[in-house]
Amino acid sequence: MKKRAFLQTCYSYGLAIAIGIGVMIISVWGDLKPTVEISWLDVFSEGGMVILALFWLGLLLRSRPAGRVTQLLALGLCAIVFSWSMDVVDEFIRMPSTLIWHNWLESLPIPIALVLLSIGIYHWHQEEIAISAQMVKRERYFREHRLFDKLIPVGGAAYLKKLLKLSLAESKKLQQPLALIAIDLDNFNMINRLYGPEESDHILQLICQLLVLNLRDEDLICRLAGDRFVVLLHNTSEYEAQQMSMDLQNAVASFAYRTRQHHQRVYLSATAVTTMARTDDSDSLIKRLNLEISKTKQQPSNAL
Amino acid sequence: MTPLIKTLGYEIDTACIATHHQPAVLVEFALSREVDSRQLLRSTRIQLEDFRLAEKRISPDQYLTLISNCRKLVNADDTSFLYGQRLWPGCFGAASQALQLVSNLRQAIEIICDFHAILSPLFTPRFYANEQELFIFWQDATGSDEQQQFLIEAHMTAFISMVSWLSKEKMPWNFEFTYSEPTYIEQYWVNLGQDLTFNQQMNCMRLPIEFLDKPWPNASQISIHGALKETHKQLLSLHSPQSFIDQLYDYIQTHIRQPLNLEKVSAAFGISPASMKRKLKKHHTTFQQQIDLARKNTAIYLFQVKHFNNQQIAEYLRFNDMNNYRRAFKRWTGLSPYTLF
Repeated sequence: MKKRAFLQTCYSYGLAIAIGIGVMIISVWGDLKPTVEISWLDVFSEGGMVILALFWLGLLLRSRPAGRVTQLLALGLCAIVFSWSMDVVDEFIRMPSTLIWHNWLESLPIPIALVLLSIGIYHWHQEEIAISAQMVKRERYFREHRLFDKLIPVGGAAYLKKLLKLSLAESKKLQQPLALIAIDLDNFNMINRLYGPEESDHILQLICQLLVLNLRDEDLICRLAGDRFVVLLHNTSEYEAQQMSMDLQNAVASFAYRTRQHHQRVYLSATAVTTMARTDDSDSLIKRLNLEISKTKQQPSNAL
Repeated sequence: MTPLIKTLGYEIDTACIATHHQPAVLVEFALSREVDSRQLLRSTRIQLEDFRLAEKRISPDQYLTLISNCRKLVNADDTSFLYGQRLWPGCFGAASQALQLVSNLRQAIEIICDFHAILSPLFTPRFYANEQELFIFWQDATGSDEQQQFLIEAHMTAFISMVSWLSKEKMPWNFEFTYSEPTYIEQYWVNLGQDLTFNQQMNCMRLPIEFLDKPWPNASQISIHGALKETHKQLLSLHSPQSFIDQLYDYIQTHIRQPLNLEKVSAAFGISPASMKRKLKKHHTTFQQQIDLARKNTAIYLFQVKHFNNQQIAEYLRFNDMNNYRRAFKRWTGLSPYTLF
């Protein structure tokens, strides 16, 4: 975060200095317009544009990590802000039209800005493709950042429900089986109590990554709630799904987690159930899956 | 006439909650979710320093503002549940120590109910049982209004999580809620369980009776007495062991078979009807609502525990004809007594 704050001040100081110099140059060569000649409508509309461009710049710098793409986009926006603010200054100060470069300050930065922005957006597009490739097992069909889980970088329950609707329709159309796995850590309450909530949050984050590693590219994982995850398996038979659920359980069981503070070994295990999408809709399917996992967990072999 | 109730219970604006108790748990959780502390404490009149000094007490109102801020800033469906998981036994002095030493569910329920002013100042648990089942229902103690659902989720999760931790057993709890099914129902499944019913008459948890006296591991029959004694002292140091709304509810409940009106009840509390009204308004309720609530709960209790039929319930509550009873019942519950019982 510190690096980002530094960058931000860098851009804003640069921009302020550039605008200051621009205003100085214009005021040295031009002379002040009398008040009656000022078109206030132009002042407001052009001033508004400057404020909007500053707003974009602010959002960009606050939200994006520093890097080449951010730099290009920010420089482009800076050039736009500069040229538009020169436009505003122009409303107050008249430049003698005998001067060859009288409107260079406001029109020259625009093509530079557009070139910079274009290169920036092109790289941004490449970056998005790279990120999407990393996200492949976590999202499908659509992106909705508001449905992302707050703690763990996978979709939450709302995302799962929306997606399941689409997947059910698709599997019906293509006549492919759709399987679901619910996986739930055993005795998570105890881990939470013994090692503290911070440690258990960290365990959940790692377990999620571990599960992602054990999935195929076309599978999708969401966090339902707490320590319960749901995996969506497209075009997968019941046998295959059960095999995968065993693999996931084994992966959790052989995960050698050590606590961050005292490096204590924590032994983890998980319960998983599989179910096939049949005639039911997405809500009842999720409900059925949860009922099954609750029943499995209630059995004495799974007791604490 | 001297008032029957000597000291009035804590109200929504009484400074009665230790900042370093429940509020600290919530703040700690919110900070772990990278929430800005200034925004979190905005308009709560609490400073971060207060948690370190551990002296200040805040009012339920301040605490409710803190909850509201926390919900907005963390903006996740599981905030109430995660807060609940961290709540009990907790670090609330001797009361928490006693909770850790209980030897069965009955003892845990007794401690939670007797010392709810320490352990759960905003929501009051109440307990009863019949031959088959035990019931714990939760009632608003200070008019939590918009935060009610959050508090119900938090307290039920707290209780379930604590019981499963201390008993090392999974119990088949049943849950009833007065509100309709929330969109984030999966949080209920994972944190509470699958047996949930919504749009019911009470916020209630039910369990087969055989779990009530089943011994728990790690209990200590002897040292718990010391802890309980300390907890009683702790309770005496509080403003009062009950909230004003609780006192009113209890008063109405014990005098339910007598004709009650605002003047009479106000006199018993030693305050004027006008100030009774003002106090109730502050807690987002009215006198009639409190009477209705007590009568509804009594009717349900008589049905569940004493196995009364409608005729007997109507008689017990001094209705002189069944039509009146039916009409009143419809007002309390929105349902006819014959569909419910």
